[in-house]
Amino acid sequence: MNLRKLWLVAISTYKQQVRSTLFLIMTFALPVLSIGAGMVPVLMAERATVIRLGWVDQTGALALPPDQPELILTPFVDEAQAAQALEADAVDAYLVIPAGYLKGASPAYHGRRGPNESASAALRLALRQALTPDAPEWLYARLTRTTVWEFRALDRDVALHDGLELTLWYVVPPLLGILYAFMLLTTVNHMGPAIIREKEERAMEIVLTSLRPIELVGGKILGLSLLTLTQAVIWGLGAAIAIGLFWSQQGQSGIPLLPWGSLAWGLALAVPNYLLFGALGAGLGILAGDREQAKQIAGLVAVMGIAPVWFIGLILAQPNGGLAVTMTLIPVFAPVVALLRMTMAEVPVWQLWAALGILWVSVSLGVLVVARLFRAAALLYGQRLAPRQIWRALVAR
Amino acid sequence: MSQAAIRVEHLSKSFGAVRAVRDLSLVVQHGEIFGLLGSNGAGKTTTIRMILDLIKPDAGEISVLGGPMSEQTKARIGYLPEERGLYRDMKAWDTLLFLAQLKGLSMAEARRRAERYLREVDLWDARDLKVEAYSRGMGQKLQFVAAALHEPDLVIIDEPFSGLDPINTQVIKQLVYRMRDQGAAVVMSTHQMHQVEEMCQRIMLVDKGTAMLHGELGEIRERFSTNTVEVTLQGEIESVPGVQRLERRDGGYRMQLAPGTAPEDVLRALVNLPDVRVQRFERVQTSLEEIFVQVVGHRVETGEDQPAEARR
Repeated sequence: MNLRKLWLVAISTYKQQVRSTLFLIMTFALPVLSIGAGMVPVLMAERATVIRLGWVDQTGALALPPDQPELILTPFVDEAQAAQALEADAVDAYLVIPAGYLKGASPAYHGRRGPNESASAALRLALRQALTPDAPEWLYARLTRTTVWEFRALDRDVALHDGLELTLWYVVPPLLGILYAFMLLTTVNHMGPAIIREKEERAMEIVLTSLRPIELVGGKILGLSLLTLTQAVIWGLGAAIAIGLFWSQQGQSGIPLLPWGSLAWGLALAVPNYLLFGALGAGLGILAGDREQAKQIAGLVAVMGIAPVWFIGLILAQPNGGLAVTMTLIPVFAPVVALLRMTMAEVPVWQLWAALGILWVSVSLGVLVVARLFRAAALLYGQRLAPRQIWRALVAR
Repeated sequence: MSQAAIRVEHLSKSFGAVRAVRDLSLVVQHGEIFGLLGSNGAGKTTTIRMILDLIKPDAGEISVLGGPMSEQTKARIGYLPEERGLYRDMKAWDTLLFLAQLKGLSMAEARRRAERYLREVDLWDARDLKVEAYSRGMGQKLQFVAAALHEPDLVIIDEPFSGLDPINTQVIKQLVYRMRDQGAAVVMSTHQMHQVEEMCQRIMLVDKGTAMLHGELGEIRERFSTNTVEVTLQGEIESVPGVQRLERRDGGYRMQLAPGTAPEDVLRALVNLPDVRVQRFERVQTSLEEIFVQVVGHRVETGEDQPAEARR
């Protein structure tokens, strides 16, 4: 195989697809939305200001707490007075603490808009100080800080902090698996038409006098792989920025601990799996007579890509059960199922190595078969390969 | 380059029940333009595709540029297929660079040659247009450039002038002549007989997959010579010694000579006739189209009457 020619086809395919409007929309819409979602709390936090708050204590048992940087309190004898002050813009809002507060009734916040996050925190502290005006300062400080507890997963030798880090640890791998499954949809849907295009635009006859079918098919698959990689990198960056914004907004520093080992296995399995779907997509393009047919059949193959998502409940519930293990060893399901399993349990390494081996053998066979079919179908303009022609192509020496 | 550019021996190919090529043998030398003639569906394109290793023959031997087809050989071949096609949403410039690099040229060399050729065929100003924006003639020229850019040792051009206006036909012809003069072997497949008569030294006429005629064009024409002359003259004649049949045609006469009569005998007889002045005397060359009709038995048509598989 001439790798230079394969690379030329890959780059040419990549350049053509990466400039398409559809690709640009699909690639940038998701990260823009993610970053936008991540920015919301940050933007809201920036709008935090000092609140002048009216204080109406209907219990008669609370002390007026001291002012805080975010909160300046003004006591009122009743709600009507506080409402008048709000009308006159003497306060931004007022809080009515009902008589039954000490027994569990909720205070009511009256204002044109609700308190932002920092004001809410200051308000919670104020209510605690009102209950115990003589308590030491350090006690208030501790009470206002959220307790972050550490989760030690004994079977994995990791320690995770409660909250975002714990969530990310369990959510990121399956989320990436599901995202990957949907990326396969893009690949299969692009691959068939890319091959059909070669036939429809009649460029095949010229190109095949310059390279082998396997170089053309391999180049197409590689080009579309690079396309998906571009998409993955952009999505990954978008997700990282969104998570980073949220992470820092939560007052965390450094980077969250993630199951890097599982992710590395997922990647190792995803590379051949992706190539396999590329080959399947190419094969469909060859067998289909036109783009419409290619799209219809591509839908069926794409179903295989997202099938693990349907079994997500079963796989997560019994990560080392028979179904999960079997699906790990089936090349089209391997990376997504493995990621889902590794999220919940320790997966025996031999299963991962076996899945990897089976995948690479499948890819080699897949590309070989596709190249043979491609050669047989290359000059059948507007026609499909008959079953007998398919058989002859596969067994030809 | 003493060896033949193409040597084909006893080539056969069938598509199902249709025998597209039957026991066909030919040799094409470097520095010649070889005409492969036949109506559509005759088996020309199938023969070309077998030579190019695009389809496998059922039987026969093919040697291209000194041996069986290999990746190294492919880089020395230029091909303009009958089924015109390029990537429609690719710019012409990018298309040429891509195809030239597949033939082994470096990017710098591909750029240099692409510019030279595009200027020659008057497409330089349209280089940044997508192929879909090209007219049929422009696309045809672009595809020819793609076949010639790497300056191959063997060029196979299938119907190279279809869809071209006379000026562009001339431009392409000059490029074909130049390739031949530089030592390349050119195989021109066409059913446009006048182009073959003008450009080819040797031909093969194929019908229903079988080689009907093969050899030097001049020799073939001589073989099919009808010993006929056309004469334009002042005066009236009713008979001429040595002339078997006399008929009026296009303001002159067409004379079928009797067996054993030489044209100069008739000319002498005409000159000696009273009140007759000879203005034009020309021996009629049998046209390739006439030869084709004689051999194949029907007029050259565009040939949509053949089964689809046979045309492949």
